[in-house]
Amino acid sequence: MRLSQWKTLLTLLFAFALVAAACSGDDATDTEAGSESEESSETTEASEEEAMEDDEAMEEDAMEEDGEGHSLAGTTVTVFGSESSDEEAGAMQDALDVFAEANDMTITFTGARDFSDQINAQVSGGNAPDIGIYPQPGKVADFAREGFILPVPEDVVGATAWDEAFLGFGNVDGTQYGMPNKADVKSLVWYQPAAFEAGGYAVPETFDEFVSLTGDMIAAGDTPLCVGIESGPATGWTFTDWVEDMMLRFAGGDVYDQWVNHEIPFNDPIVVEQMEAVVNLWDTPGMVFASGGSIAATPFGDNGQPLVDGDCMMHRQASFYAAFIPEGTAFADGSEDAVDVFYFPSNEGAPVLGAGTLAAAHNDRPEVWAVMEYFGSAEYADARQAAQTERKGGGLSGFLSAAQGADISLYQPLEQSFLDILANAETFRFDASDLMPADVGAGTFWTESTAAVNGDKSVAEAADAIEASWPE
Amino acid sequence: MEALETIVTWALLVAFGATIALAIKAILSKMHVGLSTTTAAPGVLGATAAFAVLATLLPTSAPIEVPFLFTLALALVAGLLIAWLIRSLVGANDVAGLGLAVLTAAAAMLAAILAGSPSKLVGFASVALVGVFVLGLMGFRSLPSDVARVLPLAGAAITFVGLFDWLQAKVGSPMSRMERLAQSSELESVAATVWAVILAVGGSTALFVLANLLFDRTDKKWSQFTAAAGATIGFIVFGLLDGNRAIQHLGPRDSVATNLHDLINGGFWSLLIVSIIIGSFIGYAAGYAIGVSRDDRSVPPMIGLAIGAGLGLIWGTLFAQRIPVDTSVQVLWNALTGAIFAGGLGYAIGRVDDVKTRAIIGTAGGAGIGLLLGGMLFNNYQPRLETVPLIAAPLILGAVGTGVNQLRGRNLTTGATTGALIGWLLGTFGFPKLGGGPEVETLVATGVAGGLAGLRYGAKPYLNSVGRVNLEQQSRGAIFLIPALSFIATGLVIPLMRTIVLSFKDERTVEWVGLRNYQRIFTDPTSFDYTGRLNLFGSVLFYVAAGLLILGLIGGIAASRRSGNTLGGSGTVLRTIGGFFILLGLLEYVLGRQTIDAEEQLGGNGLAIAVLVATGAAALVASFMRRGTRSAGARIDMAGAPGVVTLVGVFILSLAVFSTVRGTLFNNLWWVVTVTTLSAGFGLAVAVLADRASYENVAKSFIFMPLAISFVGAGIIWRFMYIARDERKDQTGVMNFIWVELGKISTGGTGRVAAIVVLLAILGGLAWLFQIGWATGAKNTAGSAAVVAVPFLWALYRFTVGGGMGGTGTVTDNGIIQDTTIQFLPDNQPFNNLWLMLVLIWIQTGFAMVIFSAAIKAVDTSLIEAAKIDGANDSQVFWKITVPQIVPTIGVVVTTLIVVVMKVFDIVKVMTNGNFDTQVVANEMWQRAFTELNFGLGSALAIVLFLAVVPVMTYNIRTMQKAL
Repeated sequence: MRLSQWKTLLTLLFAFALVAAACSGDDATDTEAGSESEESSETTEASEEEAMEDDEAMEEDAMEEDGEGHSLAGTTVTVFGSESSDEEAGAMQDALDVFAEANDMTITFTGARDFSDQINAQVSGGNAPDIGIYPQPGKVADFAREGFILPVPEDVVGATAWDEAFLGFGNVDGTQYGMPNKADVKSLVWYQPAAFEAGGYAVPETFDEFVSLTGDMIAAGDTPLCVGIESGPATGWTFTDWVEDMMLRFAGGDVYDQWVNHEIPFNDPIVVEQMEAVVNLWDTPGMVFASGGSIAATPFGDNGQPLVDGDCMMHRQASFYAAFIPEGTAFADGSEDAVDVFYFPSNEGAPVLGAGTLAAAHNDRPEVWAVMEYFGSAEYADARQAAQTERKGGGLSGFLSAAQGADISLYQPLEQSFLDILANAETFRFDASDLMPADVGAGTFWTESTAAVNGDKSVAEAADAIEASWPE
Repeated sequence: MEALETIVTWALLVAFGATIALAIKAILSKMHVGLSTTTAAPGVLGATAAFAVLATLLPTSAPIEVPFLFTLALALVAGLLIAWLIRSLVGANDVAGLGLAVLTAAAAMLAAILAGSPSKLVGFASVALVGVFVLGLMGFRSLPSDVARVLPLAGAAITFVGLFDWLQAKVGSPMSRMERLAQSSELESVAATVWAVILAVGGSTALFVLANLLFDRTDKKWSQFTAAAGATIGFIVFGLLDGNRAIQHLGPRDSVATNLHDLINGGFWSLLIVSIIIGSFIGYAAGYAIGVSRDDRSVPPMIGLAIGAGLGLIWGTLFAQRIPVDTSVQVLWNALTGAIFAGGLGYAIGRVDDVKTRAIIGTAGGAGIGLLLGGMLFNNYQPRLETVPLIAAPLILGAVGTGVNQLRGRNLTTGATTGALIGWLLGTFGFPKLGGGPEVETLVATGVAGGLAGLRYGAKPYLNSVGRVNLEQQSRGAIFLIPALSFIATGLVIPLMRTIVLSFKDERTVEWVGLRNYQRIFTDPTSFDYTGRLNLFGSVLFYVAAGLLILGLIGGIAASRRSGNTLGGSGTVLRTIGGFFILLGLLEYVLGRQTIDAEEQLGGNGLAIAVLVATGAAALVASFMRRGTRSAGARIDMAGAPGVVTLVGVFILSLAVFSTVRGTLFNNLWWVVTVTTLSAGFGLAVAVLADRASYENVAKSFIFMPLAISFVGAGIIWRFMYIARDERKDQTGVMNFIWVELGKISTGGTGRVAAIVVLLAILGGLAWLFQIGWATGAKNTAGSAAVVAVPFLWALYRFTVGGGMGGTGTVTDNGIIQDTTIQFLPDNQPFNNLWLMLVLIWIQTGFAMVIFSAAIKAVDTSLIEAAKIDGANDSQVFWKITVPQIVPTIGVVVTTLIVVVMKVFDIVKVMTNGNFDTQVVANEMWQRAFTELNFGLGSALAIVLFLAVVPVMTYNIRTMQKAL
């Protein structure tokens, strides 16, 4: 009896072992035993099927071999970026689908408003997307130095349609890490020509004229500006854009570069002066219409409607803001409610503040590099522009590409004028906060500025705090 | 050579078959059913048919190309041979022998497949087990309990698995020809999911059943238990180590034997010899053990030696040939090897009574198993031994172990070996660098470790019956504890340890920075800013709070004079307060010396010290003065109004304090104080007031509902409630809409008249209530009416001559009237924090209410009735009967709330993201770690939060165990 019970136990152990074996066997089925098992179990059934099975196996083998040699069929690539509105994210997906369908692969795009936080969590957690679309070259540089993103192979860089100037933003210490795929012109002011005409206002040619124009508007009972800097975790960036434009206008491109590279301290008088100029301008009584009640609580995207409604006369914002102008609004066609832009004026020269996004790869697979190459191509720019224009119902798309060889006919006259501004800029500089280390550019520059705009801190205090946070 | 391989392989297969056959025979004999020709025949037929199918398929998958007929013949002959052996050994009749033979052959096939494709293995295993199952069912109607439960289940489960595998293979291929949507990959993923479920459910069930079966044997069948336990441990240790290696070296990999093979570097024959030696060694040990138990120390060891040597020969031969086997099967094979050897050792140890013999067997067997393990370790884990730790660590820890067991009065050898084992493991794998060490040193490391482990269990005194029963009970508890503990370990303890480590590192967790991150938390003014503390004395709120506190104290003393009933002692309370104030004075002195210049020290700082010390001293003096007159009535009675007034005072004091000392940490503390007191207070109030009222359930449901809303959801809802639009636009936020509309009504139009009429009506009603109360002597009614009337009177004043209330509007330079809105979130810092706290209070009041409601309903009604008969009013009943009885519940609710509030994150993240001076620790942690990628500081913040939560949590759990 005792012996037999002991053996019962052994039997059960063995049975369990078999179950375990059966289950663990499954893993192997995925890789190589799969086709084999199919094959052999079929052999017992019918010879016809066996023959078909062999054909099938042959086909599969052929496909696999293709996979070694650059066929993308059946592969999947994930892309993650900060563009999250229906129009932008939808058009991005549409443009990627064009490439995916041509190659029988799957590309999925996910957009998140708090991309800058989420990508950190994903990357440090080891589950990064295949490709990240970074609005900040500073972040790309940080990640490149941390080893989180991979250098772009020479052939992919060589195939791009973008010129050296833009490629440079994705170049970290001499190695290309990011592929430009979108450009923005930031030194723009949106306005309604009809409203200007009604008030007897003229488009200002210099910054001084711009300031006196706002004074005229206040005197006439109009509100000159719409401003809102709320943007979730990125709250404050609208302010930093203003400061950057002012730096370009009153400190010049060289000082701007020193500022970006921390060759002058952040609380240098010339920087504090520009920050104070913006805060003082906004704090002028009657100057700002903030649809959320206060500047710090108004989402940056909520300024399009008031501009169209005539609650304010002007809104300084980048070219992509076309995507936030209410649907159905006409652009620069001379009609009653049409919205137009003028260049944010400068007293001297014509400096242009720009921005853009960089695609950077987190995983090293042939299909990832194929998609990276696509991002840098004119085909992507065309597909994206076409899709985004369609999604905007034929209006201004909000998308802009400086890729050479792009189909210019896809752009409306106003958009072409943006491209002209880009092409003719005497001084072109990338958004400073996007170039600075993320601790500052996506951190304290935003948060401390928000405090300064909201009046919680003086501008000088905010600048000191930002300087203190600059990483060694 | 090929012929030898073939022979050896088949010998091994036959051995496998024999094992199975023995097991089945055991089951049969346990069933008390003799096999008769009639009952066994159909089973035999079925099994034979199954075997025939198997045999047909075999040639394509067998490790060696053998013609079909030859395979068949060989299997049958082998089976018959085994059957004959079994029959002569256990005495079953011929038919049973035949059936067993067939089964044995089938099992032999199985074993052959073991070395082949795993997928086929499943199919064949299932078919074979169906055979066993059918045989079992046909031959025997009355199955004994254990087997009856497990065997058909196992058979059915495996059959299902096999069928599924077959189905997948079958359906998968035509599918792949269909269009893209119907791709077989989808089916595969479904299949994979089903597989995973089967694995999880089946595996857990089998483990549970097996563990129970195992523990059943602890008391009565000790050697079986030790054998099975040994086998299980061996299986798990070998499987884990080997599986780990398989994971690290994906793709084809070597087995234990091939590693040993490389190790010895002498090719096939040397491996064979080593295998034989190891086998003989273990076999001799096992045989010796059996011999001891049978009082025959000559024959059994020799038999054991022979069997062991034979097994070693088979094992060595088979694996020396590097038969191309699949990774997963090989992991299993190595695990099974471990299980067999460790099980054998366990059996031997369990079988022998004599401690010395057992120690010898344990040491020898353990060392052998250790050597096997050593052979399995791959290069990355091979240590480079260092002499000092290798000698020092075991000696020191061995001495410690001896000492500990000396103190506990336990066996000294056990203690010494345990210590030495731990020390040895530390000395070999803990201190030295892992990876790239010489193989011989690895073998020494694992061999000695195994030997020590074996000695430790072998040298243990023989467990008596009581000890075994205890062990059985402990083991059963472990079945439930181990999974839970492993979840806690992987989900909680390991991350915590890692976070603690990270908190001492720099931004990117590269360099050690000591306590720098913690220093930063407590020195950075954004997180810890006490410089404004002296402004407390310039705050109106502070004086209001002080007034209320004094009022409450006086009320309490007065109440205690009137009645002899008490709630809480006064002497201790006063002494505590006094000490607290004096400590605060000292702290202020120290802080002042550090941060404030001399002139200011004489001003606010000096005054503050003086006030604090004086108050403290007064409290202390008072507490000692009361000593002489201390009696039942001489206590402060805070029940009722004095208590409420004091609580309001404390709340206002918290406003005063936390608006002067700022920073993330203080802000979090403010959240804790405010949200906890108000949620618990409102919850208690609702629970009491709604108790036994009409529509109680409806009312409580509405208050409970917000609890169902997520923090993020609540944050978004309230953000919309608070939102302010530009003053020239219509307001969309509820709060500002009311505010602005109120302003419009109160400044003119018919609305104003209507409002005044309504206000007058309400005031009239209140006056009537007051009059009734006054006349009937119901002081509470009159008092409440008077208090409630105050805001309405104020509103009436504002509506009539006071210039309006709410967003009354201002006239701009252009002559446009603008309504003023309230910027709830960006303005009025730091009191805007209260608007955020309100959201959490809104959610958590429901929680507090439900728990309090249950506790109040559990209060013994006879006590309340007795009190009422004695003339107590409702207020007295509440304060003197109900509250003392629900004190433990209050403790649980308050501590639970504290923990919830401390961790607050979502609401702040969604509503302000820490802007506008509303930062809290959890959100700061997120921003530091994930926005700025400063993992060191983020981790340090997490640890600070953790350290703050732990004591509360501990108290909470202890109270809960007592209270609920």
